[in-house]
Amino acid sequence: MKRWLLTACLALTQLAWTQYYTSNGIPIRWYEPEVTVLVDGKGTADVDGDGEFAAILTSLATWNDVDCPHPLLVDKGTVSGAVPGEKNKDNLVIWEDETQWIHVDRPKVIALTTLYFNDATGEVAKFDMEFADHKFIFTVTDDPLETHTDVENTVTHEMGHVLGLDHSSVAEATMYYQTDQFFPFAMRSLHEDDIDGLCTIYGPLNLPDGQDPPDGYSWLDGGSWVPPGGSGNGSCSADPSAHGTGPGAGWLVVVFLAFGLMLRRVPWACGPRRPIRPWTSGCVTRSSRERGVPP
Amino acid sequence: MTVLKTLVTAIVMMVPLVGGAAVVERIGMAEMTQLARQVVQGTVMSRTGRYQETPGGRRIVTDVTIRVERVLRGGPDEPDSVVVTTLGGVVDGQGQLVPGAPRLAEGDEVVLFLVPSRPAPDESPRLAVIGLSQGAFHLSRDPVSGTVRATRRLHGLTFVGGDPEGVPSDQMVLDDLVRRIQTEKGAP
Repeated sequence: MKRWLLTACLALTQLAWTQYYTSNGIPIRWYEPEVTVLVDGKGTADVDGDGEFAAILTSLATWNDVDCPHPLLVDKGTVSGAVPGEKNKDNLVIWEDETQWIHVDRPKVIALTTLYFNDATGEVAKFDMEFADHKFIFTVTDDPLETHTDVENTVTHEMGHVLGLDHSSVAEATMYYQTDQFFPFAMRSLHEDDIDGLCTIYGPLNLPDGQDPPDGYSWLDGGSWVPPGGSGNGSCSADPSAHGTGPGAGWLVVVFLAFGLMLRRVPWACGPRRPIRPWTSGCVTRSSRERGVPP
Repeated sequence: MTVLKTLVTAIVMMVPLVGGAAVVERIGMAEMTQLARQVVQGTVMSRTGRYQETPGGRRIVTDVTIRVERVLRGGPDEPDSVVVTTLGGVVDGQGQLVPGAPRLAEGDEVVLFLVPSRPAPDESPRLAVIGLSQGAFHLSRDPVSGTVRATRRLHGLTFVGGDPEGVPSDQMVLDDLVRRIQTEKGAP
């Protein structure tokens, strides 16, 4: 019986990240080395001071600190009076009041992210991240009992979507579909599964056979696409095989592990969430912290 | 037997549970039924992406035509079809993705909890699914038993808070779902 439960538990932990595709099955992702982020300067009245801005910067840094080639989320400061939508070419994070929130026919929606992409290439052009400030309470406290919708937790999760990650079925992952009601900050830090997803999406294996990058883009040895005349976001090399090959290969891994479990006991099982300490390297810039707001 | 159980568990648990990027509160069955103007069972006949004017320019929405087989709540009108507007879609090669929006493909058999959609100034009123994909159940028939099951595909939704009491199961027998819809108080 223990083996039965253990196997189920192990199988669950092996489920993995997923990503978005166009109508023709092409991965939806960025091809620029940097994704600039503008934040609505009025923030939310729910938070005293600049706590919500600091939380957003921390969320950006959490993804930026992943040590493999991928687009960096670059803080471009604040903006006032911005309106999300196609006309506005900026990538916006905005708290909206009842006059701004147009999704009135979608009750119970706390936050909504929209990705604008080219359906032929999958290239993302921009995003908008909208929060229903007039209907829900946003908080930045570290006290779970005082927390409503935690800004850092939510923005870190949403930024994963911005980077092309769909939900993961790994319960400990930032990209899991549900916030832990007893630990509403679990999505603030990344799990191996999130890192694996990000690095694979922006690794060289993530295009269908024969699929070329958008016109003018080329490979950097490290594994990222470089725009015309660009130099990429770093010179670190990344062996994509070290990050796995995505959910498809995950099935094979699980099958092998399942067979292995039939043959021997394994002295470990599903454990509590194990936060990953973001490591640093010279590969990434951290301009998202440069605004001077303490993280 | 143990070997079989192990394999079956591993395989079943490997089925990807795809979800998406809207953050929402859970909606219980009673509340969903109260909020709904109409609950219909039907089949997706067509999908058409289009631009909708917004204060920020325009956004892409998809009009999904549903052939109505029965109205489960919200009569007495029994339309032959309804048009449901979902967020996102593709128009002229440009795509917009709103994780959490219901994914309704042609031929899908569904039960939908519907509310009036906010139309653009030059549009006729349409309907939207409650709570993004929370209000959409996809139907499938068991080939052996013939039982029809209703399953919610909660793509792209992230749940925060809300009252879990009364939240409908992600999969249930259609007859049970219909019974719950028709016996919940607060009929529109």
